Amino acid sequence: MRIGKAVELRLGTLLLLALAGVAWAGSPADVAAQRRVLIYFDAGSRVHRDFMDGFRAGSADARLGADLAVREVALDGPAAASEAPAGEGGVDLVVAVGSRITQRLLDDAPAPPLLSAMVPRSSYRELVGRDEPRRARKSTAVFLDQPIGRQFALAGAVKPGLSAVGVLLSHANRHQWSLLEGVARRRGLTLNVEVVGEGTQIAAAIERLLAESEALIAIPDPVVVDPANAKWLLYMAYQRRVAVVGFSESFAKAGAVASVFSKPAQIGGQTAERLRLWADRGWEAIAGPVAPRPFEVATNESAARALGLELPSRDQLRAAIAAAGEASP
Amino acid sequence: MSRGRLSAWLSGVEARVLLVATVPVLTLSLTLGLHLFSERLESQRLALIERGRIIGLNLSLATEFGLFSGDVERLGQVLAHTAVANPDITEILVYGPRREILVRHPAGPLEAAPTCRVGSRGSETLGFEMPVARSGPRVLDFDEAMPGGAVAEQPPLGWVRVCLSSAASLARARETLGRSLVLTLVALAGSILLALLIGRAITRPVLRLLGAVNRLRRGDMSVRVARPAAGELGELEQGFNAMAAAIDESQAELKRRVAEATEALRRSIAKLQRRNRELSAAQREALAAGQAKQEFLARMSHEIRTPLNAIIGHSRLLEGETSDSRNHEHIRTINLASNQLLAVIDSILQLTRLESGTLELEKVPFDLPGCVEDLVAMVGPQAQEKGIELVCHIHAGVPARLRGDQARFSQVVLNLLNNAVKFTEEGQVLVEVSFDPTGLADGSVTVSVTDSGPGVPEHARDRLFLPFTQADRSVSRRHGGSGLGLAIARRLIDLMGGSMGYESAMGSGSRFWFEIPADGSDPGQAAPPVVAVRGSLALVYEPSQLTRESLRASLARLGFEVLSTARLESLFARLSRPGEGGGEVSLVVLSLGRQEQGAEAASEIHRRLRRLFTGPALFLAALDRAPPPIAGDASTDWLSKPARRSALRESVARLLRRQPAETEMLPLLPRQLGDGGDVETARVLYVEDNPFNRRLFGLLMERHGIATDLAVSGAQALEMIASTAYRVVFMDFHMPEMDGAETAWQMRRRLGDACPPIVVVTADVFLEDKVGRGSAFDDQLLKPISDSGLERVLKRWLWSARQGRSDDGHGLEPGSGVDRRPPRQAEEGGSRIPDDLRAELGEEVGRLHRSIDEAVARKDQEAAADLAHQLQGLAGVYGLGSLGADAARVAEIVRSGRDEAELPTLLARMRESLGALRAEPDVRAGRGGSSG
Repeated sequence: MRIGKAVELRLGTLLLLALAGVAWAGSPADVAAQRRVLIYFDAGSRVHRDFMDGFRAGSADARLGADLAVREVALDGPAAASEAPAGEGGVDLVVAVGSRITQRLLDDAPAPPLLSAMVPRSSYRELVGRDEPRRARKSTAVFLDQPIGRQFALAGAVKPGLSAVGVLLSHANRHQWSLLEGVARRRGLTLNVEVVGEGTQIAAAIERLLAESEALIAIPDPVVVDPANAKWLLYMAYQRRVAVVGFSESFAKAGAVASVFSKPAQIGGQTAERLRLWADRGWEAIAGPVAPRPFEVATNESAARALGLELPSRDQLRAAIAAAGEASP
Repeated sequence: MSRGRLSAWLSGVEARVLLVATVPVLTLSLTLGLHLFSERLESQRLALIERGRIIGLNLSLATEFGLFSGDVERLGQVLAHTAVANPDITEILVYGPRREILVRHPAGPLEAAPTCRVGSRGSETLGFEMPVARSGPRVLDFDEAMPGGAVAEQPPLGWVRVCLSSAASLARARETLGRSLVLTLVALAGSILLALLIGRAITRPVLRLLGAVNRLRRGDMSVRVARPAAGELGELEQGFNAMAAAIDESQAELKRRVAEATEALRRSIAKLQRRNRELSAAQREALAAGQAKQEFLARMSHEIRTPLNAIIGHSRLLEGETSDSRNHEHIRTINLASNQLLAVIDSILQLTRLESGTLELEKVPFDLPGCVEDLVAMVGPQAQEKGIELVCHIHAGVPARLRGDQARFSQVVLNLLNNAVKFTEEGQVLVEVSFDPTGLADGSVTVSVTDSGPGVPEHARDRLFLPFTQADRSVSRRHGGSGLGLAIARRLIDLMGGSMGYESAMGSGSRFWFEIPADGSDPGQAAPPVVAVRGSLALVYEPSQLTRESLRASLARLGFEVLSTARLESLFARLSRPGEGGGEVSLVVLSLGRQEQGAEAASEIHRRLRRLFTGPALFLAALDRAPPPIAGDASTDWLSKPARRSALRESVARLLRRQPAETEMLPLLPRQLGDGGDVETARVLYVEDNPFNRRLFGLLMERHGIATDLAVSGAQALEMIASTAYRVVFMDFHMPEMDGAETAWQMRRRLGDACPPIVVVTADVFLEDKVGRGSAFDDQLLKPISDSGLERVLKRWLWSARQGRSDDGHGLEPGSGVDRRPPRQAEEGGSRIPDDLRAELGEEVGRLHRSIDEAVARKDQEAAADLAHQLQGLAGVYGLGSLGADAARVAEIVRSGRDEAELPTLLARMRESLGALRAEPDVRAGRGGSSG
């Protein structure tokens, strides 16, 4: 049943693409000047539907329809990425929503420029740099991850007088260490980093970080996002009375004092803006991946009271971030 | 307890209640106990498992951070704390992510295998293992945010194994079991106790009631249940008490009633006993009176008959010897009175026997028409004397022979005939015999006697058949009679099973009749033999219509066409016209009327007849003998009126036989006339031990012209009958060695049907009841032997026996056509002592007297009684009345042994009588003869 349904979807997509091709082939000269954009998303995912809502709103704001023929390709279910139709001729840009659809569209031929939206930074780097063809293909992204300086700014806003922060990294993300050091230096903070590799005692690493840091900045790293690691990290940080600044609203709910994050609709709107930019200024204008520009702040008052902190309001925190110059990516 | 008592107890109520109360409780207790125990065990096992699981779960949580942090010391502390808190734990192991043992408690080598296995429920140690999962909060808002794509499933941090010992649990289970058992036993004991109590509560009243019932059954009516229980059993006991009280009361009431009834019964019994004693006494008195009456009657009959015989005999002697007409009349009166007195005595005796039921009737066939005609003939002269026409009419169909007692039948008919003739002054007396085949049971014979007398007065009709009653005392005075005739006749007819009655109208006469069963009679009257050629003409003259009709019927039965007339002239006129009206006359019957009865008148009629008719003529007249002219006419016969049918037939046959053979003569009856000498040739046997009696009897029979053989004993008689055919045997009853009865029985056995009639000769009047059918004797001849008695016996057995042997049953009768009556001496009584016997009689009486005297003297009672009886018989035969009576008294005293003091007086008186006998040869001996 599942296979039959997938085949049916695939046939439906091919039919739509064929129809689109026919339409474009037979369109008038002014219409032929429009560039064609396909945006793939998973219609079964609430996050994707939020993203598309933001995208559509942003498209309208950016008047993408004036010179772009953006066509939404709704896939269905978790298998949408792996079963997304192959690329087709005459498409000027393909927008892939999410890591799974991005991974699928990266290997399609012909390979129009790809804009991957709402993907973790580490995932995009891993997908795009996996082989040569991928590396050769034109691709850009609008990341899901916040710019690292934004968390540092939040940490400073949450805990005034902050001087030393710690970051736990997996071995795969050790390359960010230097980036982190640059941000910390710019903020005047001491950065403590613990890289956790195979056979590393995580508890000991956390213990070490907590022993030297006043705040712990949790970045989207596979080690950090592990629930057990996150639980014990929060537990041990609480025991050490160290504030944890997270990267998601869920983190704040789990025990982090505050988190900074972007909503999918915000990222969708930013994606529409990037298409406006591409349409206006060409590929080069958007060739570099960017972090999400709009953001939100979430706080955990209980955690803050436990740690003896008095948190400003979320607007104040956002303003503090902006004041810190970390509002733009 | 023995097996029988155990079985009895088990079948009792108490055991059943106990079983009913305990078995369900025991079963329920055991079932519930086992169930609860197993449940308890299972729950303990499950609890142990749950506990192990919870401990494992808690340990997995407790060891998570230790495993996360790799803090083995911390893990050891957790394990030790847990083990202390849970004594059941025998071992706790913590495994690392690679299943290596990181920590164990109690401490031991990490390489060693754990002491328990997971899931091994059968062993005493249960193993529980739990993974220590990597758990924690979700920190990503959505999956797309996962860096590096989807995160692989993270293995658990490690595992925790807990070994729990079930020993404690088992111990607790055993403890539970023990407690359960104890509780069960306690409950059971309680149940048994309760059941016993309940059972006792039930059985105690039941047993109490049962005991009361048993006592009641044994008759203890006072038993009550003392303290009735409550509830239904109490009601039952109260009910029993009420029932026992009711029974007790009822018993008491019954006892009271029984006592009352017993007392009443006792009084009744006493009364009945007293009444019985009185009745017994009365019965004894009545029996004694009856015996005395019988003895009195016997004695009186003997005492009266003996002098009466003497009176009658002497009066006849005097009648023959005197020539004085006046004396002759006196003597005739004496004779008549004596005969009447004798008849009265005989009637009284007979009535006595009838009333006492001792009279038995014979059942012997006899000639019914002949018997009636004989009786009519007997009364005929009396009727002629009074000028009464006596007619006998025997209807067709009357049986020739009737089975019954001819003597009693004749007595009844004769009584009616005598009455009719006696009370009829003029007119006629008609005797009719008829047969009704449908009457009574098997047909009946009716005999009626119709007279033209004055009739029975109205006032006498109710007591006509009562004894000693006569219709008219004046008649009694005029005609005499004892007033017993009709009473005896009616009782005799009743005894025969018939009925008797009469119709009478004053001034018109009476009709007396009786009807008796014709049981055993011949089916019909034998047709009289025809003596004339059928159609021969007979002329009959008879003035009386009844007689004329009777003659007409009789002649018609003989084959004649009969022309009858009541006028003599008409007969002569018819004879003067021979051949007219009916042809030639074959017979003339002249039945003379009263005016023609004289010899001259009869001779004149004979002369006139012979002038007109030379054929057979029969005269019927009142005269016994025909006048000489008629007697000399061979073609004329003479019969006295009324003529019997047999005589008429013989006479007609004889007249027709003497005629020329112009008429066909039918064969005459055999031996009708040829047997006229039968009487003379008839031989009888007389068995008597006393020689004087033998001689007297021989003389009497010689006078009757009958040859007599004499036997001195029964044995000699038996020899004689073997060689000689006797017509009649006369037998003395009392004989030595073999008495008359025994001799008679032996004769009957030896000769069978050929045995002649046996007539017992005795002075005992009551022996008459013992003769007849079924007894040794056929008839009885009373001593002293009278002419009438002897003639009756001869008539019955000798002369009628000859009739009985004749083929037609109409033999010649004495006094009929041929005068065969005994010589005149026979009528004068048999008591007169022949002169040639007197001396010998005196000697014999003397010898017997001496022998009696000697036997009395030597106390030989048997010999004395026998001799006295011989003397009594001798005296009876010869009419020695007082001598016989004294001899009888001597025999009675000797036999009974009482009143022996009277013997010398009796013997002396007998000696005086003997002397008188010897001294007065011409006078009968004894005072009985002279006392009159």
